[in-house]
Amino acid sequence: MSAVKKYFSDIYNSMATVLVGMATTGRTAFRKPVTLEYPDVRWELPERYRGILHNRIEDCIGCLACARACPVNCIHIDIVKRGKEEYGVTSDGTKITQWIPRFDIDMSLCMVCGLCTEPCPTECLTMTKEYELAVHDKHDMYLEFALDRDKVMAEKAEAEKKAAKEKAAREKAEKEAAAKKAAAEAEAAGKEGAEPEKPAADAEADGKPGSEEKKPDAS
Amino acid sequence: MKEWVDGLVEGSSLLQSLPIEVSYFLAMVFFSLVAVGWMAICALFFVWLERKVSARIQSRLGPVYVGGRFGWAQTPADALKLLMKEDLVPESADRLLFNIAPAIAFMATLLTFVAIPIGNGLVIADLDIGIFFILAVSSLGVIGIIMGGWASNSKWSLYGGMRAASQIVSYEIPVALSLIGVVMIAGTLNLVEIGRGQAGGIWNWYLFKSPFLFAAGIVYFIAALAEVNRTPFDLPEAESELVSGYNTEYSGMKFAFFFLAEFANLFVISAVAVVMFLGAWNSFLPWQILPGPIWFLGKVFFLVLVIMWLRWTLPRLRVDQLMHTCWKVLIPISMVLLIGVGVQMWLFPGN
Amino acid sequence: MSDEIRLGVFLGFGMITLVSGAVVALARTIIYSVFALLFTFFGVAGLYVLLHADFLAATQVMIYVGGILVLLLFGVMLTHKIATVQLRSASMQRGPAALICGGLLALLLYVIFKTPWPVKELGPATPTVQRIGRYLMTDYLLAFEVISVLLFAVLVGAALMARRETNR
Repeated sequence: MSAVKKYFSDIYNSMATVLVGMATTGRTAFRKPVTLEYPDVRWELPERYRGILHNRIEDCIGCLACARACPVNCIHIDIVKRGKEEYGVTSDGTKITQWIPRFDIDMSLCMVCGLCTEPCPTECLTMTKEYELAVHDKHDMYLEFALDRDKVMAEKAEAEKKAAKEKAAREKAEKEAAAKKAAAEAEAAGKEGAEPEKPAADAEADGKPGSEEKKPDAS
Repeated sequence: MKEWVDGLVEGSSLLQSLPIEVSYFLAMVFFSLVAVGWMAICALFFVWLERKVSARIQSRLGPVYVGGRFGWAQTPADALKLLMKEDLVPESADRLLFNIAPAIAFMATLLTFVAIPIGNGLVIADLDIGIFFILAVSSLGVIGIIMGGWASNSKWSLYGGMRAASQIVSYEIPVALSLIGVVMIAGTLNLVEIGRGQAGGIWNWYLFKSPFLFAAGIVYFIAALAEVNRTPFDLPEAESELVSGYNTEYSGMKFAFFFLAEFANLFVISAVAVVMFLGAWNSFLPWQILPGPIWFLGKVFFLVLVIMWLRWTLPRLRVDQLMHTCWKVLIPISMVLLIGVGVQMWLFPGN
Repeated sequence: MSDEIRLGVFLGFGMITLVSGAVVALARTIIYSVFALLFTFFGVAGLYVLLHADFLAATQVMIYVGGILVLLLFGVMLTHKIATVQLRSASMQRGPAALICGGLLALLLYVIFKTPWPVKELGPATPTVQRIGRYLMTDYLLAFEVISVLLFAVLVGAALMARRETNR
């Protein structure tokens, strides 16, 4: 008898539980989809999201703190100490005292831990929210932040040459104007005209390796 | 179909100039193409629907991009891709059988399409033995499945084919037994006549005409699910066990044929359920509000939706549970229901 | 349908039946024999349709293709070495076999040509289902019931044989 009872209760239970299951899935069918249509819509990333690294090289003072902090040694920096020479100031006012010919980050090695950004004194090395790290060529993973030194130096030399030329022209005009007045004043103007040549010569010397102290990165 | 062709021949001077045999032959070709096209449209639509329904049940979106809105062109694009793919045949497969198996599976489904009435008299082949014809040719599909499973010379395929064989042969019996009740009450095998017998309101639908037929309708629905290998009876193509079952080794166009047949079968079982139990093309009111085909397709659509809903709700049965369900539950129940219908007809003759 | 076309269709179905029947008998691979049987059954079903016996044709397809052929396939597949495609049947004792077959052929041909077959002109297609049903329930009720009892006995016997004998 109990077998017969079980037979029919099994049938009843199977039908009833199918209906319960269908009610459940029926309810979920009208829930808001959780799918994010990714390339069109993106997640709102958290404030401290650690994405790809970025360095604002204008603010970088070449202190090597980041390269020392990196656990996988993926930051390669070359610096050139220039002694008293100043290369400008960062946006927070720190003086930049050395030239940085190389500031490379190998993102294929980077483990995106964020330890390099913490010791940065000028806050120039930051982790962006950029998380699409895939590239077509693996060399694109190798990020180079250093400014093109030759180009910058050439521009600088050009600017200085131009400034010198303008100054010379101005001086010349002044000299011509002054020559009409007095010969003693003209002698002093000739001494000043030689001065602008000097920084350009220094820049030439910078380019030769070994001519100045060159420090490799912390690795 | 014959009446249409006769009317067409009378109306057209071009057709009149041809011999009658030629015009009939042309008509046959034309209606075969109509059946193939209708089948392809159904299958593509149902694949799309399946993806959308499954996505919604799992709180996803499903296809959204292809074709602009709702990803409606996703499945035509997929079909086109399958047709253009390389035609691979495994090296150790039996080439001949491997190649004709998808055609047999496809043909079995296509043959059922010609006998299904979409509206009142709107059928390609108005057969006297309608429902019996559908049952007979749909049993052909299993041959294609076994053939494909065996010819692939792969263990997954072979197991899929064997499972399909045992399952479909078993479940054919409750399908037929549950339909016989309707045939008894309707007094005909002709699907158009059965449909006409259900006109005039929802209480005339055979599902609600007798409690026995109501139960028979449920039995038919369950058994038909098993017969077209839908979850929870999808053992022949159990992804988690058999990779893809009998069509594991198939790719490209041949896979498309299997796939098309499978989804077109959804239409077939739903359409048979609608014609036999759910009043065919008749509205649920005593008078016909909208054209018949709209009602018919609406009901079929609803049933297909329920089948998909079930698929994404239930887990798969074990083989012994499958056989238990068929031989120890569905067949005895359908036999009892058959006797019940007979008793009812004997007690209340003419009702 | 004109007589020529009817003849053509008849010859077509006849050819399908004969050729696939020959393949059934001659194929060295068992599975080919079984699948060729599918086309034989189809050819016969086509001949039935040609004779306006639609119910019989559908029954032919349903019983033989849907049932018996699948069981045959089952039988073939449950034999050993199924995993290899080469599953062959051997032919032996060709001499005596040819003798017997030739004798049978002669006998059948004699019967075919000597029997006065009652030939009847094919009438228009009429519904057959109701007449078949009526005859089965009236004139041929005894045969119908005897067959069903026989099938039932076979079913019970098969179940009994297939049962595991653990109770003894």
